[in-house]
Amino acid sequence: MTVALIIEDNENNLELIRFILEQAHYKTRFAMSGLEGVQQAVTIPPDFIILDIQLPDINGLEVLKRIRAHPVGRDIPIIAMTSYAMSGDRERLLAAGCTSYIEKPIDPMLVIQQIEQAINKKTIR
Amino acid sequence: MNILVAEDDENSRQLLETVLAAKGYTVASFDNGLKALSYLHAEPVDLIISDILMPEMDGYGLCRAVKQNQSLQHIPIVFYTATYTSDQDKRFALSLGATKFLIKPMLMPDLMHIVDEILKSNQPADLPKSRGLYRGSPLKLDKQHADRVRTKLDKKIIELSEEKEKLIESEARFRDFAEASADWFWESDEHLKINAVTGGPKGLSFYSLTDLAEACHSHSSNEMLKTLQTHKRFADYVVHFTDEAGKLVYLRVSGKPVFANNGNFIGYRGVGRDVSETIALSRKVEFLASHDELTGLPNRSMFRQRLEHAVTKAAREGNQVLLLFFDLDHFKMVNDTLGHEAGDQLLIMATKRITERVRATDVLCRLGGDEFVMIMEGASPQDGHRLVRDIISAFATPFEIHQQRVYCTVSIGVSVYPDDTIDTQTLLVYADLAMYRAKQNGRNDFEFYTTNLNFIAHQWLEMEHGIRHALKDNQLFIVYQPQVETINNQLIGMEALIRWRHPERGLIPPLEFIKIAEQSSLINQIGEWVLEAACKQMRAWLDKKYSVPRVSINISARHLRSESLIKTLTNIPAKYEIAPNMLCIEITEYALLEEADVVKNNMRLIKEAGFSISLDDFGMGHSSLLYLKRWAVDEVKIDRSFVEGLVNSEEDRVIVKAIVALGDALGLNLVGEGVENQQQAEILSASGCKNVQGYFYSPPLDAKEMETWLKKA
Repeated sequence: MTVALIIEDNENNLELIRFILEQAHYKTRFAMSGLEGVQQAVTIPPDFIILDIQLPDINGLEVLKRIRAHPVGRDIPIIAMTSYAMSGDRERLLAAGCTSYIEKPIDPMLVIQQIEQAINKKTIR
Repeated sequence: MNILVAEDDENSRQLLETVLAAKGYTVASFDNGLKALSYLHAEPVDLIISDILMPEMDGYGLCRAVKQNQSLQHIPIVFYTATYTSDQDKRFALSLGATKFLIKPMLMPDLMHIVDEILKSNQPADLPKSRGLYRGSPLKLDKQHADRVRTKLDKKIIELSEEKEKLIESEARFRDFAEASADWFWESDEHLKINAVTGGPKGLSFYSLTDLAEACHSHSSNEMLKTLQTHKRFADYVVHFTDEAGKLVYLRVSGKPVFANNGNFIGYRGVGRDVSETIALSRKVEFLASHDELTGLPNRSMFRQRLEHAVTKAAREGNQVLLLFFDLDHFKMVNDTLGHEAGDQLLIMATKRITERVRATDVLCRLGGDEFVMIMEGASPQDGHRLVRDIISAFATPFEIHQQRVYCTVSIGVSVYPDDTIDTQTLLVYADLAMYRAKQNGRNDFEFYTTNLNFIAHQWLEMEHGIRHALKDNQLFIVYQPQVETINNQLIGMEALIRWRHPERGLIPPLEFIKIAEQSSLINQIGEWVLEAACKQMRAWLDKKYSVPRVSINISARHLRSESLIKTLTNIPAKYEIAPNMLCIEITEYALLEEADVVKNNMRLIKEAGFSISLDDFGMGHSSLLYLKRWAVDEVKIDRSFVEGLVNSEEDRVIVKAIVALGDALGLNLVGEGVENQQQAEILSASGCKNVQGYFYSPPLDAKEMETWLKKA
């Protein structure tokens, strides 16, 4: 079973993503802070990560960098989610090793497709 | 008077016949009722004495037949029986019309007396009473008196039978008690040999109580032996013995001495019970009380005992004790994320990873949660350091729990007795503190409580990192020391030696880094590197059309234990088209000490592949002539320490001569190592050692410098 780690501090968003993923038969785990997210990602590596960019402790970019810096986290697909989709952010995230990028507000009907595209892209690469 | 005896037991019948005949009676006897009855119809009979249990027709049947027959019913019948003896039997017999019911055995005079009485009372008074040999005064009893006697006798018989019945009942009661009890019974003779056992484990009668005393658990053997020797009572002694099936059985025995009427001791009688299960159970309880249920490791209370014990022993022997404090990193997160079951699984797997790497004497305990401690007795900080690193690297591989990879690292703190403290409590606190520092270092690390040890340990680690870098970054290089034939100074070979030029520290002495590399598989990588570099250089020389002599390569003890060694040894030279006979593999005696199968196998394969084998540092430490024979060595290198002593020590001269003689006899090539002056060279040559290596001839040279030698050749 494919396991997703959702790093998201907003409970409503978290529940929504979880619901969508579980409907699509993914197994989900979550972390509600950046540090916890990094730790979980490198200790119990999931198959992919959904990462919110706005987090209370360390921001999503930092989370991304730390996961990528760790040998365990180097190859895990990470899909970032952000509401301020400025092109600069997008480039910074991709430069830091982000696999793909989804803009908030998410479209529940499309999000699975977007995620799966991202994972597959990773697999092909 | 005619008496008929119906009795199937021949002995009984004969006895009655004899006694009755002696009294002057005419006796007709039969062994069953049917025969008796047919006789009765034919002949007159005055009295019938009949057994009850008989074939064909029993006593009751006979009695019934007689009493129902008009012409026979007057004949008195006496039952004389051993089988049917109860009151009920008696009542039944009398109801059939029997005159008397007698129980066997009776004293014959008493029986005769009764017979006389019956006959007398059944006869007219004027008939002659006796014609027999009976010598007692004839009894003159009137009927009243006879009745009184009979009543008395009857009463006595009834009493006796009642008593017997009580005894039987009492015996049955005790039998029931005994059968209901899990205890069984035994008896011994006066020599304490067990000679009767009812119930209980099989094979006990091969033992004596003395044997059991030797295996007494509840009391000391001496105590039990003393009890037995003084013929005292004993209760609830627990002993063990091996039963017939070879199983160890624990028994709880109690015994009471038995004395004969004259006061002599004749043995013991007692009870016993198999308490093996109880003992096993109590052992289990004991184990559970002192061990952690999940991992089976000793728990905190057991740990305290073991630490006290270790420290006491170390104090006596002047040894060190290392205390290692382990804590799994981020264990709580695994527990919270994957659940307790996964957490438990992780603890079990982590325990396994640690225990697989420790020495048999190391004691790993679980303090609780994800905290473990380990006691290393008689270990040096270096031993601890090596183990700790081994364990940390073992945790680099992820654990597989519920189809999920889990990366769980470990932080370790080490304290040392008596260096850090002599108090066991404090020792634990220090190890904990050191572990905490390791966590602060970013986990997945270790710390010694003592800064100095820490420094050394981390320096060691740094050195290892350095070697890894050196291998990658071309900081290593090879120098070649020529080996020369003394007579003509001809080059006959060279030894490839590793050197390390550190970018900051400059040249690092090989002794310093080889020692560290040997602690891990790094030494194998170094060995491979040297082989490759040497082969590459040989190829370059060969391509330049130099005539290249044999090159010696050092292979470490650890590398010789490696399964992949032979693959390396065949692949690398082949890659540079270097024939194996151009290479000599140098091995120290030390490497052969461990006669592991893989070592034997590698030695054989090296030989078979066509390499020559040289035994380095010969004469040092563990020299065994056996090696020379067993391993088919081609060359022996006389250790530099002997060469050094040649000038001043007669002993060293003798030893070298002996080695040379031995080598010659076995057809071995001999090389003197570390030759530094003319004198040494001359003595060696005079001793018969033709080949030498040392500064006197040439220091190790780099490849370029070596070429001048090759040109000369």
